[in-house]
Amino acid sequence: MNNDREAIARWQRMLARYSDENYFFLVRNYLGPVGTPFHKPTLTARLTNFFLNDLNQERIVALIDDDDAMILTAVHLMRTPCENDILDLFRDDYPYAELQRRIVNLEERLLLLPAEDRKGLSAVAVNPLLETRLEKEIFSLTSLFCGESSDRERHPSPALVTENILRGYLNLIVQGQVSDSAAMEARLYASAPMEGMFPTIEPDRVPKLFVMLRKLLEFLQVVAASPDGRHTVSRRSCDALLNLNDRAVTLLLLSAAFTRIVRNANGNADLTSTYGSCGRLAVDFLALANALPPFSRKSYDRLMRILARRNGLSFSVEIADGFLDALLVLGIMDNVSDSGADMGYQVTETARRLFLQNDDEQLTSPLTVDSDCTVSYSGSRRNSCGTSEDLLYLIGEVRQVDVLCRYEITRQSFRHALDYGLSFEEIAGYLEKASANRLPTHLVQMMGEWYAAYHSVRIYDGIVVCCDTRMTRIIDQHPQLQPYIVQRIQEGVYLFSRREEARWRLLLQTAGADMLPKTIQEEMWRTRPNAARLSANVRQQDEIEETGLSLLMIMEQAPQTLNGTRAPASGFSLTAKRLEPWTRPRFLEEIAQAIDRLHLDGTDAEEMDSRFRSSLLLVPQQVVRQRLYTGLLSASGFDFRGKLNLCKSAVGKDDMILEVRIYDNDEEKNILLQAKELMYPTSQDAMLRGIVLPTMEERTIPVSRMFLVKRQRLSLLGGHYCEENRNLHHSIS
Amino acid sequence: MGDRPLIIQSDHTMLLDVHSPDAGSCRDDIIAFSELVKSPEHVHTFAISALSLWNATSAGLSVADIETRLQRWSRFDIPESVGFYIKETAGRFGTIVMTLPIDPSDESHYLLKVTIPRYAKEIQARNQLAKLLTANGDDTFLLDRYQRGEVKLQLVKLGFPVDDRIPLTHGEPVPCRLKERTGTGKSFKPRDYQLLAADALIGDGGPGTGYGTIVLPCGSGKTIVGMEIMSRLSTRTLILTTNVAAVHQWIAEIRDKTDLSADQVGEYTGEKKEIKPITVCTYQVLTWRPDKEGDFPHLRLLKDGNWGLIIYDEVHMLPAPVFKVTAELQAVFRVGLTATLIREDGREDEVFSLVGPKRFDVPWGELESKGWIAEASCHEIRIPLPAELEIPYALANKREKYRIASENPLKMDVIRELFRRHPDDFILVIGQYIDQLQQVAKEFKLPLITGTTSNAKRDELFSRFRNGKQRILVVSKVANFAIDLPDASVAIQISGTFGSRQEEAQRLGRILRPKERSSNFYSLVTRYSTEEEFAANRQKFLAEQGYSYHIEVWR
Repeated sequence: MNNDREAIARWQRMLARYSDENYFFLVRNYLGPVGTPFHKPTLTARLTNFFLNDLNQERIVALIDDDDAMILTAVHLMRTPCENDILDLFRDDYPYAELQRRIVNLEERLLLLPAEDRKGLSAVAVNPLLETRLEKEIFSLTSLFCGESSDRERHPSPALVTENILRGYLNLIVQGQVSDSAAMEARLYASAPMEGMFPTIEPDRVPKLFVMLRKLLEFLQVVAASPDGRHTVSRRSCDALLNLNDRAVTLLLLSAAFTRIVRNANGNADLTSTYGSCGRLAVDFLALANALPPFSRKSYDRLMRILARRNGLSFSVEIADGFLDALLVLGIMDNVSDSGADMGYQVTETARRLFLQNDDEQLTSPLTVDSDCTVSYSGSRRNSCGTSEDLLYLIGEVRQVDVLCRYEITRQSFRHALDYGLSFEEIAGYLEKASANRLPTHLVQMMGEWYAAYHSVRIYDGIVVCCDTRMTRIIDQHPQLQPYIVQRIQEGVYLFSRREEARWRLLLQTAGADMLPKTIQEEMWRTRPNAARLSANVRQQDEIEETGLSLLMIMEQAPQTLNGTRAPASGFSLTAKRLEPWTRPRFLEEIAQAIDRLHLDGTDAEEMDSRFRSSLLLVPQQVVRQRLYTGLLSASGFDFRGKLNLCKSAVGKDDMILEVRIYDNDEEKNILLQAKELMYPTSQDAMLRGIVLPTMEERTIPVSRMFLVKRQRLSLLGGHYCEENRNLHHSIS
Repeated sequence: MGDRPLIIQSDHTMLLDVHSPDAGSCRDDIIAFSELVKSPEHVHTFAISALSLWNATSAGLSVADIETRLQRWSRFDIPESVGFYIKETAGRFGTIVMTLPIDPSDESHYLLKVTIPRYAKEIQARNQLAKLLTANGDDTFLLDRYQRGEVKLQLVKLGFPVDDRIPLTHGEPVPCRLKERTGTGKSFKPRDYQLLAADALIGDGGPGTGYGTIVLPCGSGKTIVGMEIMSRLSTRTLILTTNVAAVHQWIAEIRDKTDLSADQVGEYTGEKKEIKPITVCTYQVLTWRPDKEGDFPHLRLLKDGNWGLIIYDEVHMLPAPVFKVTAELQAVFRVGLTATLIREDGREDEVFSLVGPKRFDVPWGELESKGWIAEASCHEIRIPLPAELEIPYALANKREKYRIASENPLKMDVIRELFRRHPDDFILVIGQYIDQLQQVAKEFKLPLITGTTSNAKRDELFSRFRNGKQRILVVSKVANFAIDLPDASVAIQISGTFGSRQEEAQRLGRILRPKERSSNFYSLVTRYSTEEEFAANRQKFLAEQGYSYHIEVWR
């Protein structure tokens, strides 16, 4: 009931947005002649009743043909598109003039009304009194997206980026395997060991996926590239990231990918709001595409155009290409082939399943630390450590991310963990707590040895080296190290040359300190003005500040985008139902008979016929003698006066256009013209200056050269159409 | 589902939770179509490979059977890719069949029948294969009989297993039975797993059986498995092994545990050239040739000996020329024996194709828990490098570094301490560098066996060790394989061949014969040196078998 009341209130607000001229046109069309004095609230109430009437609604719906259904579905999905959004969406399906006519016709039939919440724009929305019914009976994704049969060759479905893949990838970063050199990165990801590590990801997708993943994680400030090319992870962000469920991870990555693409296409877009819009778009996309059978590229473009409009994002072919690439690389969508022929796209089975499963279907299991130093687990590690962090990606080396994920604790992986600030106690404590069985003594002993080796040398600030007795002996006597020692501060404490750090580090390593630690407080000296790397570093920091987006910020400010709801919160209840082909409803006979009984002639008959063909007549009560349009609707041939009058009547009326047929360069052409000025009228000729739609080119045409002129509505929405949409028209052309 | 013991990975490996109550049944079910890769303490890894699937299908297991077994034990959904792989790969077996020619008088050819035309075209398009085959109609080919192995090998490399339906030829009969009481009067009976291993190899005696590799831990009695197979086939047998001492051991075992008479068993080595119904020879003598370009004169023994059974002991050591001849011996029953199917040259696949696929494998830990091999404790003792060697070490190249670390003189103190720690054990000191071994021998006044020690001297020293007259031996890598020293209970590895996993396992194997006392394996490693890294690599195979090293730091 509340919904009804709300719909009626919306409908009435929408009606109030019409100009008087258009309002009374609509009232007269549906309610018949109205006498003066006018009382608009009464008229509105009568019109409301007319549209609430079940029989009338039934007839309105019966008159909606397949093309109408397609346009109405699009408007419903876009929520409040401008007329030009609709024109743009279907420009390849209909000639411009026809499409224009169809939209105006839907406005005249009060299926589309001026959107209440987009003041100043010629935005439309579906009639709120009919929307629920249309949703059930008319709106169909199939009509809009040319759904294909779903009987396709079955291939293994591509893997999505799951929590476990992310953990494995973060581990590669921690292990120093990720480089920002594109060539090195491509080589690494194309290598056979990588296939072994991530066997669920198709080998040819691995390089693309991981390069994209790096960029996205950098974008979200989970990973940072230092000026020396190394990548480091932010532990806080990783912890937050690895606590997201797989659905949230997918949404996050998709939203971030879309945001990057929009940001690249439109440099000054505000990142936070763009992320919000992209997040909603991602959710909407998954909801809609999930309901669709395989769809073509054209349908994909249309879907993205609709969703971009729906979520207030600009759309371009480049953006659609970028989105498509992201969807394919992230494994959310894949190509469909039929006997080897490319048939389009579909949401992958894994993505479908992900958005259907319950959160608690992601089982967790403890770690198994085996005697060969492998650490394995199945399912999710999310929240499985209680309040403690997930440290596995810092401690081990990823070996395999599959049904069972396996890591191996090695000397080097242990060193990296220590470099990230973990202590022996933390590492051993974590393994002990997270594993189902007792830690192998051998592993604990080895870690103890590695820990001792790691602490045989400490490097502070990149230049001060403190060593134990053994390393002191080596440093004191190693001839190749001497040139790099700037000063012996005291026994076992040296000042080394910063410039040559890489070389003396290597010498120390080969001399028996292969667990050489990272410099302590490395970040601090980097901010000092005299550091060689300062400028690059500052630049990087500026960039981070400029991006203004981070995972932690998203989690704080827009947690709803990560809530990983089971059914994406899109508000769509559309399905890919197939509508029955439209057939002419029987009640039209009744209307036709009523028209016949009226015995109209001349322009009256022409006008009634036009209303009938335009589906504006629903009940016989509408069939009464009255003139709704002023002047002639069309004039042709030698009727110069008629053509001139039509042109004259259209001049300066922004909601009217002229469809003019002329010979242009020996070719018959139909053009749509918005009349601006009639010049030099004489009894023989006159010049009509107008704007050609949709190119917005200005032309002056002698009326005598027009052999057909038709006057028709451009819009029922008011007089600001042309100016507001000039730019949009340019984009269409 | 949550309690099921098996996890199937997308890369066709399967992980068995050994603590599950159903682990044993599951293992019995899956071993028919997979291979054991590693078996550490908690999770054992099995791999489904093309060869393991073809073995299974050749033994009569269908794709549906395999799928049913996987579904029965799998804890999670079976990855789609695994299902596809099994169907696609296992389905290939039986599409190419090798048989005797239709014309029984044709004694120089075999027939290869290809049931799928696309495969026939693919085979013809491969030069390597086309030159070995003569088309005989659209879907059949003839091949020379001596090319049987080569054709099979090339086809397997292409991904087409050959269903070899040509029965193996039974060699000249040589009656042979295992005795119930050994020559020394002890009662004797092969153990269950030894019988199972022989069963697995011989199968039902039909096509596709009678050849293969048996993988059993060192000290678990592979020789007995060989002899069990000999007794079942009772035919002329050639046994190939790694060195003369091992030849002597085989001969002694055969005499001790079979009813074969002494004159039925011959030795074919550098020293003796006897060809008897049962002949034991070394790989070395077979691959000896007078000059680099010349022929291998003794390889004839392999080809022309009219053998009914060939046993390749330590098959992972099979040298390349023997591979070549083995390819021509596809009609002969053959068995490979090894503890570690790790070949440093990566030719494991050729062992599988030519000698035969792995037919039997059992985790080391399982035999240890049943007492069939000795319980062994592994220790890694980390020793500091003396201060005077720190700088030479720092300045050395990688190879020299390893040598400096390996020959760390402080290891001598550790050896002394270990001798003191094990006053009653029989001890082997095993090393890589002769100089170092000589120093040890000299320092402790111990006998040394190296490659240059004469066979007679080696036999004598091993014999003294076996009968308790010599408690400690210093040995080089010549003692890595095939030397049976039942009472050895302590091995001290003072240096090794870089990161060789196989060597580490074989050396541990020297002390795995079951005995009253438990065994101890010590690996001496220089602390903070490259030897630590190599040692970690060496230990991998054993770690994968469930052994773990106790680390001690020498101060």
